[in-house]
Amino acid sequence: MLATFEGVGKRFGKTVALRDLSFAVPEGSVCGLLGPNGSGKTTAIRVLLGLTGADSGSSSLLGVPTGGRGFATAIRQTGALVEGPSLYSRASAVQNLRIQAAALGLKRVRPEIDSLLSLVGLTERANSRVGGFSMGMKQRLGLAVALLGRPKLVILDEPTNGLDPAGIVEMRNLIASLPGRGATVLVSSHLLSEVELMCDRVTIINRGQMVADGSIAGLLARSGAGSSYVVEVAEGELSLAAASLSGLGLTVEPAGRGTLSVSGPISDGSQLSCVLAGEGIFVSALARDRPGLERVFLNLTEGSGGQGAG
Amino acid sequence: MRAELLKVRSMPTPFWCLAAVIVCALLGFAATWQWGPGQGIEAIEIAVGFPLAIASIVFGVWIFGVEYGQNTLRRTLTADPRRLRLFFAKFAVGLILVMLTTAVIHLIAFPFYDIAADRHGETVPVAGYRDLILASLLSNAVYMVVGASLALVTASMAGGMTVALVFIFIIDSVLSVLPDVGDYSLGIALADLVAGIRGPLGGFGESDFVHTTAQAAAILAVWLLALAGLGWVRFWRSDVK
Repeated sequence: MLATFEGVGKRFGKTVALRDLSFAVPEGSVCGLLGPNGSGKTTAIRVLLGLTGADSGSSSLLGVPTGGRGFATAIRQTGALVEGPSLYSRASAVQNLRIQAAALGLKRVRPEIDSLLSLVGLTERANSRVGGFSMGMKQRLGLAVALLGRPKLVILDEPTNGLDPAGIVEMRNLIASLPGRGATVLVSSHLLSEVELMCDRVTIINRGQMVADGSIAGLLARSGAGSSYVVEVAEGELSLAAASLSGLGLTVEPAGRGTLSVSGPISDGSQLSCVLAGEGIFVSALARDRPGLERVFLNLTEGSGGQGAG
Repeated sequence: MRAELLKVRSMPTPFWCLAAVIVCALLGFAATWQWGPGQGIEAIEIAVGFPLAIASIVFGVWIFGVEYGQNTLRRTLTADPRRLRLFFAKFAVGLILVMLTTAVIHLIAFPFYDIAADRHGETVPVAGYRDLILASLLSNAVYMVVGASLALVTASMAGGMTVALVFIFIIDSVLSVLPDVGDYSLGIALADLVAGIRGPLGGFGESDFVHTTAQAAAILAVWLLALAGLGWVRFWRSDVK
């Protein structure tokens, strides 16, 4: 495990930010840390990085307890982008990277800096002042800063914040490429669709507490929310299709003209088309209901919201 | 320390501090060329010594304040979380650069001011100028430490700048005229040490000795340790946003 939380608690005055938080980030994964705004994602990351002290419990980075002996070495092998890019706006992109390289104790880094600037698409703005960069460019440079020294673990806190759709896609692709560079990734976000596309596992926290943890597929399977499909048939056959599918014990709801939303214990989409074909109904479109994680998330966060109150 | 030196090289504030000092020195040179050096080394004190003192305060505040002003402290500490090491690295870089700049600017200014003074049949007294440089090295180092400490206490660039200037020019001046406790102000202790270097009638360092050199050094050390200590406690204890 490259990062662990064990019973971590943190208060800011009367506000409980983290409550007995426990989860781990396995090596080689792209792990999403999901939670509504104010759920404690950033505080958890700050505790892990030693920027904020925990009141109880413990966390570790690359097997080293946060703040313990060897933590400085562990953190040098960790790249972090916390709460937006932390950049010297009056310095250029190259200067920002050189400053970070010096702080990490890296020498002769120009080839790596050039390669990172190329990776994040900033080669042509290498010598421009960061103050003039767009938010997307700053986020990409922030990612380059986090990747200096080829860290084993990359921690990204809301990396797509403030980006336009094209920027989000770019950032998502960059993050998805990180395991190929040998990095494990912990990425926090409140954008469920992004996490679903980028991550192979997810930890959901609400009110500072872990409410679900595991692979996305496993989480969807366990909750049943993943077995949700949108089926499109001819409008005249809608009632018959609904009756056939309901007969299998599935939950069927109208979802627009000629469209049904079907959920329940469905192994895969072919099961539905097979049943409908048996009734002489031919499916014109069949798609997995993508907001599966959203449903899991809402169920979990709304559910524990009440428990966590006070 | 390499990262801190790179920050100094990459950011505009140190550059503008240096540029302002050079412009003031050039203006002082032009004035000396035109109207003469005044009494002793008066022109150099005003045009070189005073700007260097202000620049030392600004640079001292900047060396820590830049991290708060640019919101980069979390990045700095996620590269190396050892706060004590960062604290000493910044103070070391600040002190080295302030003292180096003070010495170099003065040494460059000297021959030019001497040439300008010579036009009026006067010379810049070497011994007096040497003492001025030594006194400037001490006082500028003190100002840098005060600025850096107050930037840490306020955890802010703008706050540090304001509090440092208010402390040095107002609070400490007011303290120094208070009966009984005034003698223990930072300014009086520093003035005593400066007067010890330059003699009691040394222009800006003009002072009747209040303390012996050892007493003044002890009072100054207590002030600096207290300010830096307060800064350290704030820096060490505070969560990084």
